Amino acid sequence: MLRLEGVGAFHGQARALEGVSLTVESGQTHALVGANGAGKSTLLRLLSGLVPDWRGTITLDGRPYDPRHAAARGVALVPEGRLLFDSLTVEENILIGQRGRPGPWTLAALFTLFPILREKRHSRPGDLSGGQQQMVAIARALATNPAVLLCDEIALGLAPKVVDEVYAALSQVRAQGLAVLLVDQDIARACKDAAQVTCLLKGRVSHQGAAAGVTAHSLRAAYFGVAA
Amino acid sequence: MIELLFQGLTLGALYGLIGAGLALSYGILRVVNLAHGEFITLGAFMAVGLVAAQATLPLPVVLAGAFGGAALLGALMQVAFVERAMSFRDPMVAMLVTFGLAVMIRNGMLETLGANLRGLDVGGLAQARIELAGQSFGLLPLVTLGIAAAAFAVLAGLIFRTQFGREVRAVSDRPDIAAMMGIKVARVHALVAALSAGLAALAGVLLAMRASVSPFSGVAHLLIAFEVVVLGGIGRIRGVLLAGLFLGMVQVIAQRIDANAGMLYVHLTFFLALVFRAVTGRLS
Amino acid sequence: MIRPFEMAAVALALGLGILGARTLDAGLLFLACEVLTLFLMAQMWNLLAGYGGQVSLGHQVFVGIGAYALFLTANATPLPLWLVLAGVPLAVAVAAIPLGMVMFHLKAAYFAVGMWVVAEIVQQLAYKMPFVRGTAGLVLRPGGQPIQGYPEQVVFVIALVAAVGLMVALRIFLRTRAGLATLALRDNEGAARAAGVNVKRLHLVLFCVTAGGCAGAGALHYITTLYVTPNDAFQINWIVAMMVITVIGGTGTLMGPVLGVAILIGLREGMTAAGVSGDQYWIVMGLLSVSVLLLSPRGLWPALAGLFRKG
Repeated sequence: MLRLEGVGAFHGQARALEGVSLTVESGQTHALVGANGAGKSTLLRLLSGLVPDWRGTITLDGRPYDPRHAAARGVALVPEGRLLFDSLTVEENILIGQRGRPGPWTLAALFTLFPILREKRHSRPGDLSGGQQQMVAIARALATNPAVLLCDEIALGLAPKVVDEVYAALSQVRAQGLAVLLVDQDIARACKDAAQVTCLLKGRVSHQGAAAGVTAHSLRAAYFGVAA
Repeated sequence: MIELLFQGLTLGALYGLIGAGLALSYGILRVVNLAHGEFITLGAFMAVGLVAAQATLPLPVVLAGAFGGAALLGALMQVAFVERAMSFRDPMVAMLVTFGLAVMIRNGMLETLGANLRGLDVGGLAQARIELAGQSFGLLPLVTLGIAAAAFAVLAGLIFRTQFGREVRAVSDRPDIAAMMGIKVARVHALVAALSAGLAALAGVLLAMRASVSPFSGVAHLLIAFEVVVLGGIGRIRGVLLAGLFLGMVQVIAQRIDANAGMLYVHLTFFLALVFRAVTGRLS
Repeated sequence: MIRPFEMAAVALALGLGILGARTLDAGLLFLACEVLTLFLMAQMWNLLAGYGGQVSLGHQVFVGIGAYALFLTANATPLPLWLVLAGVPLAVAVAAIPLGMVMFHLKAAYFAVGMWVVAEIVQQLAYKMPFVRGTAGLVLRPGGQPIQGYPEQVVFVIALVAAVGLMVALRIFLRTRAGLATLALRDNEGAARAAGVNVKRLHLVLFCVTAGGCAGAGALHYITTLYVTPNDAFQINWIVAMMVITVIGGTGTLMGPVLGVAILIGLREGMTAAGVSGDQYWIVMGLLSVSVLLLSPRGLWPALAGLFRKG
């Protein structure tokens, strides 16, 4: 279980996040939504150790969590834009983060989750479609056998059918007990299988609660910051 | 004609090896290590020293000794100085640090070993010739070519077939994502610096076997390495080898036509190629 | 434009120069000339690297070109030596325009080492040109006659006035619009460009001015030695000195090279007196420059000035 309390961050002089508190439970998806620039990506990057200047309290399974040790503590990021290693093959990309953490996500298991990748295992990211690259990015994160999976806009630029495939895979992943923090521009899609939803507005939490029944319409006040 | 080709090939392979280390370090660390030439000279002098201490040392041991000594120094420099310099916003700081370190190494060699030229005495190997397919080839250049080729093969194997090589490539592509995935980036930097220095020293030993080397040779070799890397493409091992072969051929042909020109024609060729590339916008 | 205090400084330099030339002994004069010419070169390097943001590892080429331009022109023509000296920086600055335009296609490290390659090319060409007489070297014989009098005295006066004059000129320059643009360039090139500064032209101007400056300093230096060889004129130690002086003293500040050359020569004289060898001295200077870069990347002067401001 990942718990954040009063987390704030700076981007240069500007305050990117302030007073953000949320909890992600194992085996559940916590949806993180908000307009562009609200701070969603910054929060995920912060949790992965990519934002050096932050404050607040973060605990993982009750113990204090230092984002610089994300890999060791089992927090894995699927970055926005995939950010695969272009000089490495698909297989090398997937295995690069393996550190011997115990868990179900072996190469074979990942190829079962994303069968197309088995065919493409010796290709480079440059030769793959957007959807395939997204699968590699998710597989790369899963191969570390994380406890927490951070997904940043995994549907971006993908055809709807491919998005469904990717999200279906995510359900299987969650069934293994992973805690998932999911950022998506599409509120309905993000909340479909989520237990909780947090909406960010200009770096602060503008809404937080159960995800069931939440729609873009019901969140629009919190999303855009206008009176409902 | 074949002789000319062979000479160009041998010298070119050496140039490629000289450049390979710099390509590696510049590709991964994004810092032009201006001390690279000094490692070449250091390797040569270490070999001379080893042979002077124990004349019957077999060549592989001499090569390993020079490689290891330089690799250690390279790693030390990276950890103690360059890694810290890399954290500054201005990339020129790290380059200038390596310039200062080069001054220290060069003058350190001058102080302890003097300014004289030294070569590695390989005894009869220097004159020996061998018959291959009806052509007579010098045995020493053949051995040099073989060792250089082997070094390239080992380097390629390291980069493309080992976990270390995968981490090196990952750090080269996206250092922050690599760090996020748990790769110890500073350690990769140190190992790359060590490997780079070791390769330079190896090239230095091979150079010393065919010609004399002085503490002042470092500058000339640094420029060769730089030219090979720029022409071959940053971080592309195959490109570096081809660029080395190209410049090696240029040098050998230029020597035939104008024996007193030193490296002039190589530098001119490089300069023209660089300007052409830059003007047509193909410089990364 | 020019402030009274600055005019007084130049006048004082002229007066002190003439006084020193008359009273100081030859050894001290040579040392003083060396200090002043090194200062001039380092300030040029500082102008390009510290203010313009372009590190060059090849400016030794202009030192050599300046020396040879002076020797060849003075030897072959009846022009007075000091007139030739005045013309050398101008000529080299103009000649540097096409080179600068070509070299500016290169960025950062490529530019730095590319300039070094240029220096090597010119040095090799110098060996081959018959009229340069290669390693045999050239002796300064203005108009074909051996030089009369004590040129180091005149050089001292010129160098001192040039050094002080350069400081004054730079201070004035940095108060003008172009000067403010240069400061903007030093602090943030992107912002400067966005603010409308013609960055390309400014870089070219700095390149040519520093080329001419190094050429002038080189010419001055070799008048005192009366003899030049390619090995000496284009030697790497020129650029090492320029870099070490600026890096230790302070990049991007006018006083930096003053402090730097004081340290460079001060330590040298002190160490020589203590019996330390030349190579050991350079090891120390290398270590000092590395240390300053790591601990105070802008050099010692900005750090010291900061201390005074706080205290």
